[in-house]
Amino acid sequence: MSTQKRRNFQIEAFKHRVVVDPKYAEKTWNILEHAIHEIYNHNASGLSFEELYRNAYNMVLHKFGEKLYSGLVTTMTMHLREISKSIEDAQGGSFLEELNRKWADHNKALQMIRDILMYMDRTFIPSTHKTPVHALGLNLWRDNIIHSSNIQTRLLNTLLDLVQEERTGEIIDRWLVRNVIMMLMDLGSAVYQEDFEKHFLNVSANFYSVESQQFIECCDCGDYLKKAERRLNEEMERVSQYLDPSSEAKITNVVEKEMIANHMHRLVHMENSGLVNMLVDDKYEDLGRMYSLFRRVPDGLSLIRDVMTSHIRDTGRQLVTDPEKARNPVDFVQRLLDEKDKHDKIISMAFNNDKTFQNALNSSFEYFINLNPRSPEFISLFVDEKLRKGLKGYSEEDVEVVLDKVMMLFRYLQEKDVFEKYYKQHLAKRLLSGKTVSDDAERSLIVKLKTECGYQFTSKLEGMFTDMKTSQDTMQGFHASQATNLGDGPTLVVQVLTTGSWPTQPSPACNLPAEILGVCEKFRMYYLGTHTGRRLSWQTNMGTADLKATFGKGQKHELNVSTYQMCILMLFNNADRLSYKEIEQATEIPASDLKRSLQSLALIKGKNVLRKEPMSKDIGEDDAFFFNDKFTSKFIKLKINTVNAQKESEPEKQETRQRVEEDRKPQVEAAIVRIMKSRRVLDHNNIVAEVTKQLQSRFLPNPVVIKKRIESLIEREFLERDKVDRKLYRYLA
Amino acid sequence: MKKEEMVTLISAEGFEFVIDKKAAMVSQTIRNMLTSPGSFAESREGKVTFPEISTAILEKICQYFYWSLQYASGKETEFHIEPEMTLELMMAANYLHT
Amino acid sequence: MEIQSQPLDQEEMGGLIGLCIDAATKNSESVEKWRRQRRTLERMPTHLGEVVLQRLLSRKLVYPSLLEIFQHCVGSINLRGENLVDAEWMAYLGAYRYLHSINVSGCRGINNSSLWALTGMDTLKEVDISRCSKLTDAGIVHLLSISKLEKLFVSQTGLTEKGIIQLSSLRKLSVLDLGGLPVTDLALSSLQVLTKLEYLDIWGSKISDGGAAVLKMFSKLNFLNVAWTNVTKVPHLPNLTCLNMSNCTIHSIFEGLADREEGPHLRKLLLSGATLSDINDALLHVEPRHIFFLNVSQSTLQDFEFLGNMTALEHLDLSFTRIRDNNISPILLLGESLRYLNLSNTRLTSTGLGLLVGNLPHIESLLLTHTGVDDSALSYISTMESLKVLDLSNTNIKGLHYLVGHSPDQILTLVELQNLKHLERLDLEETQIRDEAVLPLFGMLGLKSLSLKSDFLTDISLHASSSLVNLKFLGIRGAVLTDAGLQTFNPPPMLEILDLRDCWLVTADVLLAFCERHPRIVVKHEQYQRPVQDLYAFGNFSATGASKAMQLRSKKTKTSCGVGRESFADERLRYTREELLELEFSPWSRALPSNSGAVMPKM
Repeated sequence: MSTQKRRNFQIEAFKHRVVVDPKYAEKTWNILEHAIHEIYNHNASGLSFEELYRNAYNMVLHKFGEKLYSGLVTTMTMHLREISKSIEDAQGGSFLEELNRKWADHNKALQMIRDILMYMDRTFIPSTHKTPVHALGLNLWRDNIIHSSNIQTRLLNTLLDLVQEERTGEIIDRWLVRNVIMMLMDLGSAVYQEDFEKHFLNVSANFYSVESQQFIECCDCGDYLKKAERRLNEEMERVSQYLDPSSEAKITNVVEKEMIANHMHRLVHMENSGLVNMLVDDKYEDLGRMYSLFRRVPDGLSLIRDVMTSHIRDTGRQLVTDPEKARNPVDFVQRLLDEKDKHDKIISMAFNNDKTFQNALNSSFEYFINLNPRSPEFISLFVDEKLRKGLKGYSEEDVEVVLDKVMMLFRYLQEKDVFEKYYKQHLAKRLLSGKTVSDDAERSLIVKLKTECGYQFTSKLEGMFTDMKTSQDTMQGFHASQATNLGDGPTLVVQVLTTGSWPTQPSPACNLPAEILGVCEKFRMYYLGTHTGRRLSWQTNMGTADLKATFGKGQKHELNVSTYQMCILMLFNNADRLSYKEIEQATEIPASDLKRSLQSLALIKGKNVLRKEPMSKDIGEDDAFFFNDKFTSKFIKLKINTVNAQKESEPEKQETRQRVEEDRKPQVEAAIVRIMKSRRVLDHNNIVAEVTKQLQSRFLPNPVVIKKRIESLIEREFLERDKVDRKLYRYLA
Repeated sequence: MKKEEMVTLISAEGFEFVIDKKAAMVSQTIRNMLTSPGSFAESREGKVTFPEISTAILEKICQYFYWSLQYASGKETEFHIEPEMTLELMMAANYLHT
Repeated sequence: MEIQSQPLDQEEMGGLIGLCIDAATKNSESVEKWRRQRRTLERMPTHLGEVVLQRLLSRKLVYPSLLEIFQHCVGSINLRGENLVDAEWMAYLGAYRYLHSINVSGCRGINNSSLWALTGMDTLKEVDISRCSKLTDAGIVHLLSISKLEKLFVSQTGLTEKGIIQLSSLRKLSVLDLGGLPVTDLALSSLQVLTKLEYLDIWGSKISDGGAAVLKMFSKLNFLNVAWTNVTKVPHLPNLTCLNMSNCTIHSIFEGLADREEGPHLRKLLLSGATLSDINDALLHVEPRHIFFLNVSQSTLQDFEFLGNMTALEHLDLSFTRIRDNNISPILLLGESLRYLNLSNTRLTSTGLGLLVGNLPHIESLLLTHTGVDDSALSYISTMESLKVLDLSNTNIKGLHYLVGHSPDQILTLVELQNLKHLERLDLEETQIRDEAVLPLFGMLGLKSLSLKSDFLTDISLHASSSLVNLKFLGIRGAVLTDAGLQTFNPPPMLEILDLRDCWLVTADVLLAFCERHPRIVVKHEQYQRPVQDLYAFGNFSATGASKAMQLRSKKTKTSCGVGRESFADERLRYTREELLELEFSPWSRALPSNSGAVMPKM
C-alpha cells in the first residue's frame, strides 16, 4: 500500500532508473576471483590492474561490498588450504623451505590483492568495522597454515630441533629459521610467543638444567664459569641472528637461572677452585667472569661479597693476632698494606670497581685492624720508620702515596686518640734528635691528619714544629750575643719546648758537669733576658752530646752520646774506676735511666768505652766501671745510643694505655655535658649512644667509662637523676 | 626525457595522455598500479586505460596532477573547475584517490 | 550489517574532491549545470553524495525535486530547523533507498501526514522529529512500522499519553527522547518493555515518584533526564553516568542501593534550579569521586561542604547560588581537577576570590558576571595562568586604581591580565571602564574574543583593537563611536564578527559601507541587518536556533533599544538539552546575535 502511494510523488524524469544487471555482482566477482587465482598461480602478468580495481570499485559502489569481502575470504581460504597441503607434503628438511617459499608467495599475492581491492579497504571496511585486507590475509594464513593440525607441532618441533642441533655444535641454516621466525612475528607477537617462544624457553630450561648438572660434576669453578659465559653469549648471539629481540631478556634469564642461580653456592664454595682460591691466587680473569655472570642473577653479587668479606676478615684476623707477626711493627703494617693493595687490585681488575665491594673491603679492614689493640702504636711506628729513613730517596709523589696509605689505615682505627699519643711521642723523638728525613713529608702528614680529624687533633703536633723553628732562632740570637766571650768551652744547642705541646714527663734534672753547667747558665740568662715571665727547666733526659775521647794508644774518637751518658763519661776524666753507687751519687740520674745508659756504654760490643766488673749481662748496684783504655774501633765517629724508640715494653704499654684512658675522661665528660646542655633530659641508653656518636671519630668510648663519667658528673652536680625514673638524667644549669 | 619517467593514460575514447610519472602518482590509485608487486599489465607497459573516464575529464585530471605538484611547491593559483564537470570529475577523483 | 557513511577525511577534502565539491555547490547556477546528469548521480558514492547534499542545504540551494537525485547515494540526512521542509520533501526522502538516519527536528513544516512517507522504511535506524510542533499521535503511527528503529527523538511535539504508549512496539529502541511531552506514570510503565534503552529523556513530563520507580526496569540506562518533573527520588540504575534533575525537588538519588554495594559511576550531575532540603541526604548513595560535571546553579543550596569530596570535578557551575566569601572554601579542595568555574550572579567579592589564589592551577574558564569583584581581584586572577575564558561583565571593575591621597597618579589595573598568556576570551561588559583603562588589553595578542560595553569608550579603543591579530570577535557596545571613527577603523586581520550594538551615534550608511569594504566581517548593529542567507555560510553551529533568535532579537531591540538583557519566558520550549549545552560550551556561542545571557541555559 505504501509503495503505491509513494509513487504519486515521484517525478517523471527519474522513473526509469538504470537497473543493474541482476547477475552483475556475480559476473564482476567472477572476474576478480579469477584474478586472485591467477595471482596465486603466478600468472598475474596478463592482468590489468585498472580493470580489477574498477571492478572492485564498482562492486563497493553498488553496495556489493559484503559479497566482495566474503568472496575474498572464501577464495583466499581455499588457496591457503592448498598451500597448506603442499607444505604438509614437503619431506624432512624441505619442510621449512617450502613453508618459507609459500609465505613469500602469499605475502606478495596479498599485497597485490590489497592493491586492487584498495577502494574496499578505504571505504567499505572502515564503515563496517571489518578487518582490512592485509590483516585479513595474515589472519587467514595464521588460521589455515600455522595453526593447521599437521603443521603447528611439526613447525615447532622443527624449529626446536634446529636450535638443539646448533647448541650441540652443528651448523644450521640460520637465514631460513630467521625468515620463519619473522613470519611468526608478522602474524603478531602473540603468535610468536604462543607458537614458538613459550616452548623454546621451556626446552632451553630443560637443556641447561641437565647440562649445568653435568658441568658442575666434572669442572672446576673457573672452567664452569667459562662454559656458562660461552652459553650465555651463544644465546644472545642466537637472538640477534634469528630470533625476535624481545626474546633476549627471556632466554638469558633462563640460562642465568639454570646455569648460575641454581648452582652459585656450590660454585663459590667449590673446593680448591672456589672464590677463596681465586682471591688467594689473584685470578683476575676468573674473578671478573664470576662477577659479570653473578651480577645477572638475584643475590649473586651479595654472595660473592659476603664470601670475600669473611675471607678477608679471616686472613686479616690471623695477620693481626699472630704474635710472631706482631714482633716487627714495620713488617706488621707493611703486611696490612700489602693485603689492602691486593684486594684493591682485585676489586678494580675483576669487580668493576664496585662501590659495594669497596665498602665491604673497608669494613673488613676496620674490623680486624682493631682486633689488635697495638695497631695504633704499630702504625705510628711504621710512620716513624718511614720518616726516619724509609723515605730517603723517594720522590715527592711516592712519599705522598705512602702517606696516603698510612692515612687509609689510620681511618680504620677506632682508637685514633691512642694513635695520636704514640705519634706525638715518636714525632718528638724525631724532631729532637733531628732524625726526620723530610720536613715536607712531616708537614704533609700533619695536614692529612688535620683534614681527617680537625684542628684539635693536630694543634699540639703543629706546636712542636713551631717550637723547633723558634729554638733555631733563639740559638742564633744566643750565639750572636756570646760571640765576644767565646772560649773553647763546650758548644750548647738548646731546644726550648713549650710545656704541654710535647710528650714530656717532668723528670728531675741530673747533675751536669761543671763545664756544661756554665754554658747552660749563660743561656738561661740570655733567654730569660729576652723573654719575660718564663721559666726554664732542663730536660736532661732528652739531650745528646758529642764528646772527643782519647784512648790508651792515643787513638781519638768522637762519641755521640745522650746527655746522661755524657755526664757519666765526664766523671771518668777524673777517675779510672767508679762504682755504680758513686756514679749514681755524682750524677743523680734516675736509676732505670742510669742502668740503661751504663748498659749501652759498657755492654755493647764495639761501643764499650767503659768496662764493667764483674762482667755480666746486667747492671748491678755493686758493679764497678773502668775507663776502657783498650777500646778500639775502625770508626772515628761513634754513636752510642740508649736503646732507640722501639715497640714499647709491656709496662710502658700499660702506662701509655693508662694515660690514654686518663685523657679520654675529660673528653667523655665534655661530650656528656654538651649533649645534656642541649637535650636537658635524657635516659641512659640515649646518652651512651650520643656520646659514642660524638666521639667515634677519635675513639670508641667504653660504655662502662661513660657510666662512670656520668656518675662523676652527678657527684659534681652537673647532672641529677630523675626522682621517679632513675634511668633518666637531668642537666643542672 | 627517459621513457621510464613517463606514463600513458588512455581515456574511454582512446585518447592518450603522456605525462610524468611523478605527476600521475599524485593519484594514489595510479601509484598503486605502477608500484604494486607482480607484473600487472600497466606497470609493464607504462600505460593505463580508463574505460570509464572520458577524455575531457581525464584531461582535467592531468591538469590537476600538474597543478597539484606546483601547489605543493608553494605557488598559489586557483584550479578552475567548470560546473558541468564537477560531479564527474569528483567521482573520477574518488576513483583515482586524488 | 550496518553501513555508516564515512566522513571525508582531511586529505580528501584538501584534494581534488574538495575542489569539486566547492565548485559543485557554489550557487544555484552551478547546480543547474549538473543536476541533469542522471547517470553520474546514480553512481555517486554515499560519502560524496552526503557531503554534497549537506553543503547544498547549508547554502540554501536545495528544493524538493532536487532531493530525488540523491536517492541512491544518501544514507543520512540532517535537515534540522529547515522551515521549508514539508510533506513534499518527505515524500522524496521516503524514496531514498538506503536512508538510515533522518533529522528533521524543528522543521515547522512537518505535520502528521508528512511522516507517512517514512512508513515501512526498514532501512531507518534513527529518526529525529523533535520540536515539530504540528506532530500528534496521528503522525507517530506512521513510525510504528519501522521495526528496526533504534533512536527516536520526539521531544516537544504534540504527542499525548496515548501516542507515547504506542511507542512500546518499537522494541529495538536504545535512545528515546520524550522531552517536554506529557509522559505519565502509566505511559512510562507501558514503555518498560523497551529493555534496550540506554538513553531516556523525559524532562517536563508528568512523571511522579510512583512512575520513576519503573525506571528500574531499564537496566541499561546510562543517561536520564527528569528535569522539570515532580520526581523527587531516582531509583538505583547500575549503569547511569549522566543524570539531570534540574528544577526538581530532590529527596534522594539511587535509593535502594545496598550499603556496601558500589553505586553507579555517575559522571555528570545537573541539579540546576533544584530544591534540596539536605544535599547530603540526597547524595548519600552517589559516589562523589567519579563526578566531573556538576551544575547546581540557581539551586537552594546553603551548604557547599559536599563539594570537597568530588575530587574529579572539572566543571562546576555555582551561578545564582548562595555561595559567598565565607563558604567558598570547599572549592579549594577541588583545585587540581577544576577546569571550569561559574560563580556569576553570586555575592562573591574580591576577598573570596583571593582565597582561591594558587589553588586552581588548571582553571581554564572563570565566570564572574554580576558579582561584587572589583579591581583588586585582577591581581588574584592574574595568577591563574591557564585561564582561557574570563567573564568580568557587570562587576565593579574600573580598570583604574587611584592612589591614596588626591594625587592625579593612577594605576592601570588591567595590566595584571597581561600575565594570562592563554587567555582567549575576555568579557568586560557593563563596567565603568574608560579608554585609557582598556589600553593594556590591546597588548594581549592571544585574545580571540573581546567584549566591552561602557558608556565611556570612544573611537580610541576601537582603533587600538587593530593590534589584536588573533581576534575573531570584537564587541564595543554602547560606546561613543562616531561615523568618522568607523570609517577610519582598520579591523584586526582575523576578525569575523564586530558587535557595535547600542553605539547610537553610528549611522546605517557608514555601517553598510564598512560591510562592503570588509565582506568577511559580520557587523551587528540596530541600524544594520545582514541577509539571513549569509549567516548559514558563516558557522556550523545550530542553524535553527540561531536564525530564529536573530529574528526575534532584532525585532525586540528595534523597539527597546538600549535595554540590557532580556530573557525568554521559558527557554526549554525552544532549545533541546543538547543545543543548550552546545551553546553553553561553544566558545563562540556569542556568534548568536542576542546577548549571550539570554541563551545561556537555565536548566
